[in-house]
Amino acid sequence: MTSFRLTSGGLLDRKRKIRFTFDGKAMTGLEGDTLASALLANGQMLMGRSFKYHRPRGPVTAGSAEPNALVTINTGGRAEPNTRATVAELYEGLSAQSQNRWPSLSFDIGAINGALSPFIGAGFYYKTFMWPKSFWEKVYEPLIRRAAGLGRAAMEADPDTYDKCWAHCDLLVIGAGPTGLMAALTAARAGARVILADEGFQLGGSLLSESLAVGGMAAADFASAVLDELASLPNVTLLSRTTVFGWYDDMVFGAVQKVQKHVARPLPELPVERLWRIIAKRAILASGAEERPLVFGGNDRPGIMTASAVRTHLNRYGVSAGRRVAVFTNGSSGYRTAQDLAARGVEVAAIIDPRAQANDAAPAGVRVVSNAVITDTMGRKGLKGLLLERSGFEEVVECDALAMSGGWSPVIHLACQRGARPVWSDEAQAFLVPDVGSAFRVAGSAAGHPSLSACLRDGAAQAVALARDLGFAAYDADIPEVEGEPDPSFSPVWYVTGAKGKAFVDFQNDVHVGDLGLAEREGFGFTEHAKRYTTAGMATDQGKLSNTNTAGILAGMRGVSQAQIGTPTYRPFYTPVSFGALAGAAIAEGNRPVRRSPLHGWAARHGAVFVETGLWNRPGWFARSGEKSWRESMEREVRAVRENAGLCDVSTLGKIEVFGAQAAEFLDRIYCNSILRLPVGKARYGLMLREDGIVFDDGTISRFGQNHFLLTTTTAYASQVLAHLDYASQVLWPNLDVRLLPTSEQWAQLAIAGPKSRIILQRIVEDDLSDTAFPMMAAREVTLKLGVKARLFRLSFSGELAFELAVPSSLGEAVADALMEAGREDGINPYGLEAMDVLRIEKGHVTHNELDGRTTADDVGLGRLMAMQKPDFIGRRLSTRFGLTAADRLQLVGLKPVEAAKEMKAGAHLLKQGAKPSMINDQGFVSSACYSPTLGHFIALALLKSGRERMGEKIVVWDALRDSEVLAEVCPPVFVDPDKLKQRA
Amino acid sequence: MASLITCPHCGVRPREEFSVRGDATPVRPLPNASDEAWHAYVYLRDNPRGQIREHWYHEAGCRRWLVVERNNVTHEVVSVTDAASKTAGGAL
Amino acid sequence: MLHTELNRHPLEDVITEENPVRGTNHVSIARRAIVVAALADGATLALLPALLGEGVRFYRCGPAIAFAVSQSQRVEDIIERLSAVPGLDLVDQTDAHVLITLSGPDVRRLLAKAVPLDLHGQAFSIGQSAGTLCGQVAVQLSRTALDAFELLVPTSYAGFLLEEIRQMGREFAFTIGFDQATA
Repeated sequence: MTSFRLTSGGLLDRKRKIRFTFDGKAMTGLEGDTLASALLANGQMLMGRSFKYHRPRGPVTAGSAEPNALVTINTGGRAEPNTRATVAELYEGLSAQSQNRWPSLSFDIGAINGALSPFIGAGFYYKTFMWPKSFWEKVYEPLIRRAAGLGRAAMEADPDTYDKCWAHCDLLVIGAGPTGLMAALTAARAGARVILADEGFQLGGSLLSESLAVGGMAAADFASAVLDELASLPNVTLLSRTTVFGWYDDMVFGAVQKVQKHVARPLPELPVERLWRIIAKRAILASGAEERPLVFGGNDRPGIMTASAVRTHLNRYGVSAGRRVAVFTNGSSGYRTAQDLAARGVEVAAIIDPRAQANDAAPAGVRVVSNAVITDTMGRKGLKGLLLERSGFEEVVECDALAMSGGWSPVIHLACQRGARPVWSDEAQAFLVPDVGSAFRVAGSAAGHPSLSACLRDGAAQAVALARDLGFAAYDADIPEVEGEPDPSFSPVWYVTGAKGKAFVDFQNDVHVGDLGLAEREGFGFTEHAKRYTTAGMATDQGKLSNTNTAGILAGMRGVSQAQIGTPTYRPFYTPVSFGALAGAAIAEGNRPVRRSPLHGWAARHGAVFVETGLWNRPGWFARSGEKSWRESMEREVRAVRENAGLCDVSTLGKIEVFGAQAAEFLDRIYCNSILRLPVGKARYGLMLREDGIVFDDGTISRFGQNHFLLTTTTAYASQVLAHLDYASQVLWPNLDVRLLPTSEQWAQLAIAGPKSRIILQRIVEDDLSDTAFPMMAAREVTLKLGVKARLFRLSFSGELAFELAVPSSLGEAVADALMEAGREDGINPYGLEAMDVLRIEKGHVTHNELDGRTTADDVGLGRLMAMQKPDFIGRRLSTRFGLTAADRLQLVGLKPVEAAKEMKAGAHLLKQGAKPSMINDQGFVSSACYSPTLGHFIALALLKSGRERMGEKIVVWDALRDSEVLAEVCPPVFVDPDKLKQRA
Repeated sequence: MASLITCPHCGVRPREEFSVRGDATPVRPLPNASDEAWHAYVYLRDNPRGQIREHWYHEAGCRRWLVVERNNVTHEVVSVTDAASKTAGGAL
Repeated sequence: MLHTELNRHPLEDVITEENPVRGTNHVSIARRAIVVAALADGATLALLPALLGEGVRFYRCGPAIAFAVSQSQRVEDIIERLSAVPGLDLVDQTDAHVLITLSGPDVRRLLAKAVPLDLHGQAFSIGQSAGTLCGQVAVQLSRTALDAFELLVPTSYAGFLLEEIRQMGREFAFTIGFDQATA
């Protein structure tokens, strides 16, 4: 006895056969099937094994809340584990594998866990796996790791693409069942911009399984008619296969759309999934209600499903769950299922009703057993029969499927995701949405309205209210009649006492009533504790079928109302969302922007090897053929700069233009040094402090006019400095006449450094560049022989005679080429970051290695820049704290290895000679280190306690990471040309 | 946090266009104020539950600093004003 | 961008061939578009559009800053026209931007993938401009026609953003190429 396909009926295209495989076995289904309905049509009720006990399981539902029928779809990089077979759209070539079983679904060794169940009840892992201690890492954890989880993640790269988009609307309707369709239609006809989203591949919700006539036609036809009208309206967006998974602040909703998940070979120009961020002025939650399982002994066997699941498989997919179906129901739902089964010629074994009396009509000739419950079921891999009990009298009923109905739980998740707690309703015997404000309303059965006609009315009414709220002239549409709707009430039964087998509450995590009792006895009965202690509600289905039953059971155990128990906190996402959708296109190279200097192409043509620094790609060095390593290139570049000339791209530094009558005063308050009297045509090195007295960033200030300055910042801090300056000018001193403009992108900037830099530069510049005409720190506009205006600065980071030339960025390459040509005979070399770093370490010029957020100006030897006579500048006050001026602070020094061949690396710590290598004896650390081609040995800059008083001392450079100790001599932090003669040439 | 901020210059914008600096209530002391005043300004912050005032920077938009009054429990945004405007105590 | 042999367009290496066929959905990169930043108070900025000649678009970025954009006028001309206005600072920002125009029936669907603003005709009219995010890049976005938008993209981000636009546009068969404009 198995499930089977009926010869007619269902919303399927019976002419379109679809071939698929399940666990390697070839099967066919029909277009319109889900994987679950197709498997059932092939008599395959067994679809998975439960998490802990590995019990054979079949589907419980026909939709989104499915806890059991979790399979892996596809293979390789496309494999998607834990897919609910009840929502997976069947397509040609689909391959599915069952999970959590070995060696096979029908023979699973894991089932032995069932025999161990007395030892592995709720919370067993808090009481076990503790002894011996050493076994945890080597034995228990690896075993548990292998046993845990259901599906296995794919280990190959995902070949498909994902994207994201934004959308705006007046009204977002979540759910396209009867309520949502009426709501969307009403608002759309009034002219509102409407987005209607539904997780199904066919829109219509419960109307697709409804056997009653709506508006004088078949329910599914009514749905189609409404959808046709909606599709024709330009102000409507219909999103099928789209789950709205989260409600966020400010009426922002997250949704994921399956764009090509139903296609065997996705097109590359489309994503497989799309993440929507929807900004809605108003929203209606029309997500329906979930039928609850009944909790009784043996309620988890394959073939036991909710009554509405049996109806849906019957009416929508033309599949009967079995040949002899029993019904266990506490309300009309089970009776309606029995009616539909009988109408299609399926035998109904009996209707078992715990109520003493019911007004519900059974089909002709079907036995109704009132006042009765089920206490156990039989059959291992498929239901074979049930044991009913009535006033102490037991009876076996043979059946191969059981439709159970425990009442209805409105699907309220989205409305509760922002912290509102659901409210228990005695009338609805369910948790309902509280007031979450007027912009987001709940409608239909999600709001607790039990009947189809009430849903149709409510959807329209809520939409009218919201549309009018937004100024649209909305009117009540004609509400279609529903023919012959029965009384939808039910009498709650939270669990059946006297269960002979395990009575499951949470199917996916194998939590049964006994576990809840244990939690309560051990003091973990509070809803959030019970959840974690038993794991009820923690599986991938997040308790959709179990939360209300759990609350009912705990309430019963304590003798209180469910209102006192509540539910655990609701959080996004409503159903699992793939990482692919969350990442969208921001993966691999798209993960963050890549910024390119205007000289990037030029550098590449000269053999640059690029390195990532922040968002930029910058030349690390320029490789020449024959050079075997980066160090070889770097050494050549450094020698070229010290002996002839080098050319370096410094375009990435931040640049900010400052205008205004009080620009000088403003900058005087920003920098620690004096800016007020900087002459026009001159530049100055400046330090910006944080308000706590620590150095924030360094750069240059150039004055082009009385009220016009140009600032530079380090590359890494360009945007932070701009934010800081904007803050100071808008928040701290809004009365100062100052205007700021970031201009980093406008200019390409080249550093030309070396003894021959002037001669070379003069060849392309009109203006006189002699030492008297263009002295040290001059900053002026010049004219190039190319006929272009440029800015020239006489600054030196390398310590050599040097200039920085700035031209509009589109001219960068032409000017770089001109300089290379002009300097060819003089041996000009392009140089990159490695060489630049060596040159500045040789000169003791600090970078953020030294300005690391812990150092003051004085620490790095720049105390003389602090213009304390200024009444105010940022950082002035706190820089005087004695902690920041104490004598034993880490101070900048230079280090030379005593043995010339030894290496030193940044990050190494410093110890007194003879001290035990330990951080207790820490004297400081190496901030920058490099091999100096100029000197022929390693050099370093370091921050050493009271460093300035320890010149000549021998200390140990202790590199714990690389297990080395090197003796070094403390020296002044400058290794080349200490009197700065070369840059003043 | 909020998902959307109505910038007074640019209109409704997503949170991603902004960076948040922190509490807007501390006022920078005068240069010669007491050590305690300066210490409090740099290091001490209240951590109220409920209504707070923060400085937000519309980094990817108009580059204006804004004072955002919001509720850190309900995430409701009560007001957004330009920090330099008269109502915020400065001159625009 | 200016238009001499010395100038190099930042996307010259990226757009390797001119699309001979320009589809109904198209991404056009301006070879030459001047941009001048204007800094002044709001009242002063409001006076400027009347002083600018033909072929200049004026976009407010904030209360005290605006961009003048043109594919026909020169930077010097614009500065000349506005020289008499007191309290105004003008800065050439031509090389700081790449001007990219997107047009076609699916332009809003492409932009919706990256731009968080409501670009419906009623919410974002012709001539309207906004400094906003396009994916992860801050741009100045303006509507030039019912089915056309132009973006001012910071030069250093232009290559990255164009690649993003290319990917977003694949679904709608957007073609890409330099504009056909001459000096």
